[in-house]
Amino acid sequence: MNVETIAIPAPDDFYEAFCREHEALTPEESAAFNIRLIFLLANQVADQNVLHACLDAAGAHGV
Amino acid sequence: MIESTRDGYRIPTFATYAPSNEGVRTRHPVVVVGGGLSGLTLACDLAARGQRVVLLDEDDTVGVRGSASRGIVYAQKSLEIFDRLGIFDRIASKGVAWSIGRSLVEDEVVYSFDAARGNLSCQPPFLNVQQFYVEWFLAERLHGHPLADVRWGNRLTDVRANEDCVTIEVEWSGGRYEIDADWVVDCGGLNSTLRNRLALPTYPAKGAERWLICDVRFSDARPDERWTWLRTAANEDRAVWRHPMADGIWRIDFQLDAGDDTEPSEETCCALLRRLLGPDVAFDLVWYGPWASRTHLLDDFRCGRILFAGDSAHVFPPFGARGGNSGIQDADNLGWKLALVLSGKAPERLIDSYDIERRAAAVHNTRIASRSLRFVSPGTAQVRLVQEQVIALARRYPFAQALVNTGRLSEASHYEASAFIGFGGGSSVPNARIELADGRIGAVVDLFRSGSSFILLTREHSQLTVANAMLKVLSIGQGAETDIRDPTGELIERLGLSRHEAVLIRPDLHIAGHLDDVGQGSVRALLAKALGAGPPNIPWE
Repeated sequence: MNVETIAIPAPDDFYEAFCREHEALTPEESAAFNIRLIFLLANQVADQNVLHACLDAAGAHGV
Repeated sequence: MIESTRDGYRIPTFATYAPSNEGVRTRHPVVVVGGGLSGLTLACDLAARGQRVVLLDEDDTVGVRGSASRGIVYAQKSLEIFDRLGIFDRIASKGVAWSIGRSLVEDEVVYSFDAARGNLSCQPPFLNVQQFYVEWFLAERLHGHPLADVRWGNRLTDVRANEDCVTIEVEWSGGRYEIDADWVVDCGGLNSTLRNRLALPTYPAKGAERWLICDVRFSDARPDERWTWLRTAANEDRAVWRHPMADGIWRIDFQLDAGDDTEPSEETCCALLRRLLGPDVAFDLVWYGPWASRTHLLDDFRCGRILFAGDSAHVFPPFGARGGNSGIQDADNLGWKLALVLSGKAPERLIDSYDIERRAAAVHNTRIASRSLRFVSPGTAQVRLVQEQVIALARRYPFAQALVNTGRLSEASHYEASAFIGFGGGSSVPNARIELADGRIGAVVDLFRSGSSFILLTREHSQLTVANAMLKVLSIGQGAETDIRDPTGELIERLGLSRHEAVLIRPDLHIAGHLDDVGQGSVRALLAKALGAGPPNIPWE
């Protein structure tokens, strides 16, 4: 799992696009959107070790 | 045998066994306690292997209180075991074979599978039939066997473990008696008296969700497929399971409101069914009953000379039909081991492999079935949201369909490498069609119908003569020069014989290990390991 260097292309563009998606959503819709996005992204990552490392890193003890 | 009519079914009633020499305590090699799927399969298996067996059952019929709805889906490995035991044809002519399952949201299919793809077995992937029919056919098989002593209406009331035997106290309508046994196998189910008398911990847990089974007779032109609705308006946006069974009866299983604990009545069932089936379908409610998921698991499936099989040892959520099918595989795993130990052909240590292999299988089944339960009945609002959004993805994108989990259906167990199983071994050999030496068309189980011999299948015709009554050496290939022919070569591939010279198959048709160098020494060593008589070369310790 890479947490040292940014690999997202045009990271500010992605941050903006991600926030724009959420701006129009209620908290419930926002949570639903994130779940769909995470499963779509997980299918792109396609690496079990990376996925489990990301689950750990995103957890309360990871940040 | 008398057949009585209960719930529209014809069910046999068996005469109570009356002990002939009460007061004289007799000793038996094996006593099986409980005549459900595991106990009956084990007793049939032992008798087929030439081993005397006593079976105790507390009531006078098959099933639980007659036709109460129990297991209905029999998976391929179970069907292959039933073929070996000689009752598959009866089950197949009674039941409904199927391979296709579909999960739906309203009328939209969000996941489908066809388990017939890649099937090498003579048996279908699944066959649905009411559990009491399977038990009935097993019981009739036993009744005709001179080595089987079946005691209907004889109930275990107490058990004492002695140093070299187990004493069982039995009650029947005419009194009580005691018997001794070298080995006792408890197949007494969820609330086993024997297990409870020993006060062994099972760590029971009960799920919060509630379901209602309705077994319903009605005619339907729909194909014989397993349909599961994750949500349907006909059940207030909850799940409904729908399986065909024998006699034109369907099992329809309604997910209820978990917060509503009113006892369902016949009226409740009929109202739910009317809404699901529509106003014009005539139906007849055969049986109904509410249920919730339970789990329990014994720490050790062996306690001295007492062994535990089926629901007495382990209970999982029912998703994936892993309960009955794992009990049948427990029996299949244990029968040959007991037969060989009792006839002095294998050391007692072989029995330890039963706990190693079948407890690991139970842990695996618990994990797989609990995941399905989590998908179908999310425990919290957050987890429900995850489930709903995964379903939303599945409706739109094919990749997400694989995440829809309404039950991953029972498959043959795979046993890990151990003191008894060589590296790369442990998988089950499919009951593939083969051509036998005399030109007859047969199947793999035909090589294993009686006794408890191992079979070494070699790629080349082998001059190997191993002076061991427990081993048959046969060559397999595609040409006319081999003992067994596999015309398509698919079985050879599945057996690992495209990479190895030989494969040793146990009496339960699981692979004991492979050999790259076939000789007296290597064959003897692998056989000794599989019998628990080899050097303690234990990679997992």
